[in-house]
Amino acid sequence: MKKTTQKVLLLFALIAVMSVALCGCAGDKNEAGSSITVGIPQDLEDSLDPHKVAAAGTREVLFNIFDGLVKVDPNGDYYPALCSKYEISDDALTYTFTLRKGVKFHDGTLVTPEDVKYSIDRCSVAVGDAPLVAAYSNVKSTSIDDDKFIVTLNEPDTEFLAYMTTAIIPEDNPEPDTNPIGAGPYKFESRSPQENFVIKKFDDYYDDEHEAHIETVIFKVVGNMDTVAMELQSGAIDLLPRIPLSQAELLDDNFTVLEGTMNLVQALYLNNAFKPFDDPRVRQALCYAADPAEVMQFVSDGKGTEIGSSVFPAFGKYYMSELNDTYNTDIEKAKALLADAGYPDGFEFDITVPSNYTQHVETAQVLADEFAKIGVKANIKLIEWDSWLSDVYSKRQFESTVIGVDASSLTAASLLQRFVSTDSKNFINYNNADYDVAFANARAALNDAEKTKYYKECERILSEDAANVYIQDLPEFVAINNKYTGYEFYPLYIQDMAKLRLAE
Amino acid sequence: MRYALKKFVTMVITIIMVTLFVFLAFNLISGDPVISILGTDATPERVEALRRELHLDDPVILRYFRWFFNFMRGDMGVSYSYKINVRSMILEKVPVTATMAIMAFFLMIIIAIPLGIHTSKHQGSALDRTVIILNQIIMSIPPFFSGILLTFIFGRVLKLFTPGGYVSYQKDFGSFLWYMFFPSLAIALPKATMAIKLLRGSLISEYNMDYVRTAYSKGNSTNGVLYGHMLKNAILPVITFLGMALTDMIAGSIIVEQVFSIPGLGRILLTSISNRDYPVVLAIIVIISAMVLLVNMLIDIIYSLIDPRISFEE
Repeated sequence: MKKTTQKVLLLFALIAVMSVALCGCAGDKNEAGSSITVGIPQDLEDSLDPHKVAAAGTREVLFNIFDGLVKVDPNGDYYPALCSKYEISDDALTYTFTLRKGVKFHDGTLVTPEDVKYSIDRCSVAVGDAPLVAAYSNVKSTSIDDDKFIVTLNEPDTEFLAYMTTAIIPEDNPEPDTNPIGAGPYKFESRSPQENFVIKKFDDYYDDEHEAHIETVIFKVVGNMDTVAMELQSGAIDLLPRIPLSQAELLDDNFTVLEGTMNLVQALYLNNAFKPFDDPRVRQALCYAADPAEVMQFVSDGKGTEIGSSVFPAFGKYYMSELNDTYNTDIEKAKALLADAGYPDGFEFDITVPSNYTQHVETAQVLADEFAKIGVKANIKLIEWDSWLSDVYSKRQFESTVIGVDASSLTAASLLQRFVSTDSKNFINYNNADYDVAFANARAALNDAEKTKYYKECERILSEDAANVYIQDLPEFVAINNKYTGYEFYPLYIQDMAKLRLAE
Repeated sequence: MRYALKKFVTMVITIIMVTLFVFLAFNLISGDPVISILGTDATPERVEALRRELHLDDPVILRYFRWFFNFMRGDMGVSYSYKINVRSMILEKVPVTATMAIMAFFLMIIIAIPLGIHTSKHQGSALDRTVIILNQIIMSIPPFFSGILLTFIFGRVLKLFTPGGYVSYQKDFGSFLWYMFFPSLAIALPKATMAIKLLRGSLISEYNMDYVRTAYSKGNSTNGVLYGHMLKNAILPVITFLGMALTDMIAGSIIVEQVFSIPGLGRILLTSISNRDYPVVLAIIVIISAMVLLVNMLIDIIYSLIDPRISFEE
């Protein structure tokens, strides 16, 4: 009996000791010096092999580790990176790159012409009908001539330079999936799943103009976007791309909130093979009923850029702002079109939206209200992102969906190719013979003015034929602690850490 | 010995059932690991090629047995999404979740037992009444919400810790424990209130027992009766509850990890489920079920230590 009492007392003593020990240790601050913690909403749940990466969130981080023959700058122009110069033959069939000498990979070995050929060839090998980089199906051969690397194409392509950003990697890296080695301004340091991804400045970087300034960059996975202002204020994060507006408004003077665009084509994508969306009049009716301004007001306080076709403003010369006016909200016209198409009393359909994207869910809600005015009942169906990928995007089993489509490169083709009737990425089953012809003409054109003309024709067809109900390019807000400066927006999914500096 | 063996066998069978169930469940829900790996770049040919590479084109039962035998040999496989060995990925995270659950458990005891005893001794006192009211309030707050409240009070107002400023245990164990204190508290509080209520009630009903009067008549002081005799009897139902609470805490830590941005097993589990990363999900489920079952076994042992009337050989 005594024994038990002792046991109970001992337990209390242990607990008391433990609680004292707990209170004894206070939190440490991060060590001073040049390091920055960047919040990312999703971990890099992906292979770190730059050629196999699927998620945009991984690609934008790996941009710092890998360099290609050419690199893109914040204006969307391409400059020579691992090559000192490049030449494009007049027939746009041969691309010749003069390689830089003495460039080192992060492991200290030299970048050889063989590594370059290996990297490009690796992406040209077709699995089934398409190679890793789809545009490389046009590559006829690659060859090395002393310090020159030559790519020969099957068909002329004046836009091919944009695809030469492909990461150059050493041929002999045994673990490209988990230990990335490149020649970029930062090198891979460590990763801990769901915790962080750490990169360090590469001291032997070849390009003084584009070298990194901040020593260590920690990409920290943010568990909860709804309390992220607290994490920023407390100093747990210094920089947060894509901060929700509601959180950005809570930040004090120690932070600057920058505004850019997400570079997405946000639209209500309609499955054109689904009845009644196979009838252009029905699609047009929805376009007349929708009011992008109202959506923008609701989703992001009126910020955002209206779009009228599948190209967003960062594409400069290809963007056609006049297409925003193809359909100005007109309920009567919408009703007339519906009646004309045989649906005087409207119809009912589903909008499938991935639940993790608040902006898309909210957009769908506004649209559903707007469609109700013309007697069309839209039911919002929320699904997981993974189910969206497999059911909607891959199997095309959907009626309509709100999503933002991004561009993999800065070519008009990267946005417009997917609407060619036979394209494997044509998830909306768009089928228009005129469009196919216009697109083929654009691809074949050697002259830039002519090419632009045909691409614009493609955009106009998408708009007038109401392939989708186009809404906006979403606004993007970036919160940065005033201790740092130099953040730049890119027209693609890129977080360039080399541009960041400590503020004076 | 026989008892331990029997328990162990039941435990293994339970875990096998659980994994089989999870394996089958993944076949029912929509989503495809291959498409989640390839993303929007997936073409039918690449999907097929990767499916073959990962053996996903085999029948479910064959896949299950392959996974099972590899697991038995200690090979947990490679994460589909991270391409990292599952074993090293998870072993790194087990201490995080385990620390949180254990700390929460001790916090619960520190809070509940003294308060339970005190309030039963001083029924109707100001403290007793305050505790009863607070109990009612805290009991009805789910851990994720108390997590947000704690973050706000201790993190923002009192600045005792940095919200979201999780420090890895490998980097600085002290800071790690300090950070884990608050999420542990968030999990411990609701359970502690229930334990107080239980212990208080249980002790109060003992006061009228004959043996208590006898103990007094033998010249024991109030404290002597309370700690020497009553507590042992009154604590048995509380221990059952504490055991259940610990298993609950392991599960509850998954949600609280989200609130406090803690990269533990729960976070990995949630993302792996949405990525359809089966090897990781299965490994974590095995670990969590093993933890829960072990705790139950531990409770049985503690029972027999405190009360000799309960023996192992039942």
